Amino acid sequence: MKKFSILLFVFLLLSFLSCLAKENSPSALVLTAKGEIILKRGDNNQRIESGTPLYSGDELISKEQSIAAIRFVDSGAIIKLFSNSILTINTEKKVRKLDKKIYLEIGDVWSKVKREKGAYQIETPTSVATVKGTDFFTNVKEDGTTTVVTLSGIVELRTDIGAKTITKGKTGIAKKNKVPTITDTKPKQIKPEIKKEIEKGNLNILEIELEDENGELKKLRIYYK
Amino acid sequence: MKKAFFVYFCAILWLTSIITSIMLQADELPQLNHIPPESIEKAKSFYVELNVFSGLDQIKEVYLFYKKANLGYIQIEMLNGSEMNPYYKAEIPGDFIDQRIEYYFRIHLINGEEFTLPKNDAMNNPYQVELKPVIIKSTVSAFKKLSPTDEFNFTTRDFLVAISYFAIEDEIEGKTIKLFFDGMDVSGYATITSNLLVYKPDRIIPGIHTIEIIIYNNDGSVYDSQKWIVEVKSEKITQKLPISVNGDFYAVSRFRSTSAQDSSYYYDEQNDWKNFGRLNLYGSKDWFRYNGRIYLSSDESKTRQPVNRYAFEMHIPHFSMHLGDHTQTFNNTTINGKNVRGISGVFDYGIIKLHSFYGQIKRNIKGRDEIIYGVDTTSVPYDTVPVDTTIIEGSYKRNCFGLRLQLGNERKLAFGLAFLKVKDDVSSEKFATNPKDNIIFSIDSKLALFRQKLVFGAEISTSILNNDISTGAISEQDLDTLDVELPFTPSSVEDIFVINEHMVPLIPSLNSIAGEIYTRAFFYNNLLNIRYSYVGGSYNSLANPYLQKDIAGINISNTYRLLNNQLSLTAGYNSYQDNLNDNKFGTTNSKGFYCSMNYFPLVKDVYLPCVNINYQQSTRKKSVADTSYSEYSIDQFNNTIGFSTSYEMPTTRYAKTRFSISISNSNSVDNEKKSFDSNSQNYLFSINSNFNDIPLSSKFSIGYMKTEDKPKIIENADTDSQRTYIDKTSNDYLSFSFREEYSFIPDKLNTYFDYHLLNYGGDEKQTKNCFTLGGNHKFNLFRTETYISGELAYLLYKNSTLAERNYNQTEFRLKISQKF
Repeated sequence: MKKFSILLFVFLLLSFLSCLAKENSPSALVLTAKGEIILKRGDNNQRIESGTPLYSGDELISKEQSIAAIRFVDSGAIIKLFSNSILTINTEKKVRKLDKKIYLEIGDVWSKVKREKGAYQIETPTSVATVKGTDFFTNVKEDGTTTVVTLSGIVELRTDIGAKTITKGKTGIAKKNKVPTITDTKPKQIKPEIKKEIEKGNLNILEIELEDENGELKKLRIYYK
Repeated sequence: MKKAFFVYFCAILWLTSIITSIMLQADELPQLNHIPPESIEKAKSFYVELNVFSGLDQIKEVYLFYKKANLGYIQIEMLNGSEMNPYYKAEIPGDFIDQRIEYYFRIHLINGEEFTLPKNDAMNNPYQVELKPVIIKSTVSAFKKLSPTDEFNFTTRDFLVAISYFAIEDEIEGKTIKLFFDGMDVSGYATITSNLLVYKPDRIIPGIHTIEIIIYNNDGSVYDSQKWIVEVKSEKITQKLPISVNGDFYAVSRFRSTSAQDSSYYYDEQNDWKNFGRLNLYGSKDWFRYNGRIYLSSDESKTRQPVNRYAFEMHIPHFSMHLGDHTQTFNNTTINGKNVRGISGVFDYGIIKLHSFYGQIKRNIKGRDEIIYGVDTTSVPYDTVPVDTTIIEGSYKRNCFGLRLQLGNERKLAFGLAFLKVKDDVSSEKFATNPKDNIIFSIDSKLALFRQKLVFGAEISTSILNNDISTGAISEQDLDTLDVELPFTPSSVEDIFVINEHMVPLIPSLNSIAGEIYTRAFFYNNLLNIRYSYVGGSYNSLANPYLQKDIAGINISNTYRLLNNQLSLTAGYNSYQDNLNDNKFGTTNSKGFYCSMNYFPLVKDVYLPCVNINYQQSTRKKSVADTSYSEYSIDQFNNTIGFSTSYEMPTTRYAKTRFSISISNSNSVDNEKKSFDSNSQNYLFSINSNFNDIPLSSKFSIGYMKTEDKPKIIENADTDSQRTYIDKTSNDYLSFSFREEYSFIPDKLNTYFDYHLLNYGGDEKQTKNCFTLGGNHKFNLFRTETYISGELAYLLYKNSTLAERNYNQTEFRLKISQKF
């Protein structure tokens, strides 16, 4: 029985260590970083630059005139973090997918998510925005008011009280202890300088399948903004 | 490691050396060799190479004819070879390649003769090369390139390589991960984590770069790998022109110096310097596009047809215009890929399309009166005096006008009506004879069903040709003597066509008609082509001089693809006959049959050999009933069987190696006259190795050809003692080449050494040794790609039988190209 207990202990210890080891894998990568963006990892603070790997639990604090583009290792999502924002990355690997939970404490984030990859949600002090394959913008004000602008696809915005679905062209606003409200997106809903950055690399892809005379299927991809 | 590399290197040499048993043939024509590649890649230029084993100095020019599907052949002149580089080269542009390509060569000799490769009915039985099927991956790629992408990190300022192997993170624990950037192992400079690899080069230059990640198992074998090609752009801001201007140009200079005895062919041409270059410009603005091209060569001479090319074309919606040299095509029987120097335009309004052109297909070459001098032996001392004159004949300027109206949609149902007129400008040259006039009318149609899977087409053309218009239109009195009645006077239509006694045909008949009907069906991975063509003996198109006349027949080919296009089975049959008007001593029947099997295993990580097996048979028979003309009888038979295979060994830690073997056997028999009964065999073996740890690639190839002609009797006398007996003849050629290429910067700075040996057996023992040293460098000048290459070659020719023919040559070649 004693031996069994020791073996069980060793097994559990190894499993625990193994889980820890897995946690050491990067979750995302900083593609570009402008301005001053601080990475808080445990007790360490450092400035990020392009090529910096990010791990689950990492917190990013962007200062004035700063912007960073971050891609997750499963290539399932890309985000842009704008100035004066605080964001924490949390991920969990599930088989060959990576579930992503972003905590946006304050500030602006634009997200582009691939449908077939793992789950993706942005949590704010007042709400949770969950998506499956979309392109949307999130802003959190100091009082926690969260604004979600859906640029394509569908986003579900949930508060403690209720949830609303935000389709393309709509804007959802969530406040603490209130059901989210939906309005048409106004032209200046997103600040022009942020909109410019979002549109900079935001290419849409139109894929057309063609069949040649030999019966082979070919794909024609047209990139457009 | 060094020891293993050495062992590997020796193994390759040893394998090379054991391949020596071979044989093949020769006749009096230049000996040429061409082995089609296993496959070509879509949208990637195909460089066609024709090797010359002997008789390079007999060749005037070589043309490559290529086509796809049922399109007509496009003709291009191949880049002339030299003794140093005994082959001809041409490029089939990548933008043309989206399916199987068919091609053949037409070789023009200095003595005026010409022949084709393949030799038998090349137009209908051309070489065929399949498109490489899309690689079927056994699994979804384990790697994700996070950076660079089209959106991020692609400029010189923020370039970053990031590869994720997140999906196989658990499977690669303990394995070695290597990153190669431009072929260099940069793993030591990269941040490698359990699921991610990041590399930031200190400095990056704009242009094309390669990224390769390889994961090795513990035993050194490759677990998985992937390669990407990325383009890094400069961040500098450029001033934009109102219209885009892109293009490239290249210039080649070649100098050759020969040292030979005064009896040698090369003695009179000790130094030979040739230069040629091309400028290509293209651009667009909104709905406007343009393209310009200039090709200049030092071979250009007023005494021959132009080599230089000048072309400019522009396109706006519904209209295109071409100025200068442009290849014109209506259909197969009128004009098909002929260069016309002039102006042309195409109006295309969907269901109505009008195409017309006017220009020269031949230019005027000046002839002259030349005085022949003799020696006056009556004078003291002897004097040189004019004794006679001779005419050096020139040629007329040949103008061509074409008009074609098409109604309907080419993808569904279309009808075309074409008119073509070709006429020599009599006033352009006084030292030329037999100016010609030619008119052609043509109708064609096409019906495509089931999204073009089933296509029917037909065309019919009729022509009249006047072989000599120098005397003008025939008078009405002379017309009566020809027993021809016309509803108009010949002189009244002289501006349209010159009617006189030199017309072919004098009276239009079925014999002055050419046409074809064809069908193409593609269902269930089976492509069937059937084509019947008829060209009467009196049908002439001066704009399509290679169209064989007085011939009719059928051509059937069928290709069936299996295993996701990895396996293709092809079979074809053709049968043609001449003497359509029954005006020859007999009718020649030509029949051919061919079949081939191609296998391209393209499953990732499964290493199987590529295999090609082909068989071709052709016969030519002509029976002459009248025994007094029995000399015109023909009974010839030819068959060729070929086998080729290549195998790429699984990538080892040391090298990626591909072995290729090609064997063919050909028999040709003249059963009627017994003038030949030859057997030729061709063996080729090659090894290509690309080493991993050093940027070195090696290529060895060894080929042996032998031709054997059995003893024969020439039936030139009645009695046995008077007959000519020819003993068995045998010729053989051994070729060996060895090439080492070392890349200081892969794809950017390369050097190579090349050794080529040609050993000719038979009656005249000859040996050619050629050593070549070269290098090339690709770099960015003016922020766009610049390429410079230089090559120094030395050739030593030794003739053991006729020592006076010995010579040696030194050649230097420089090429500069620039994109902008």
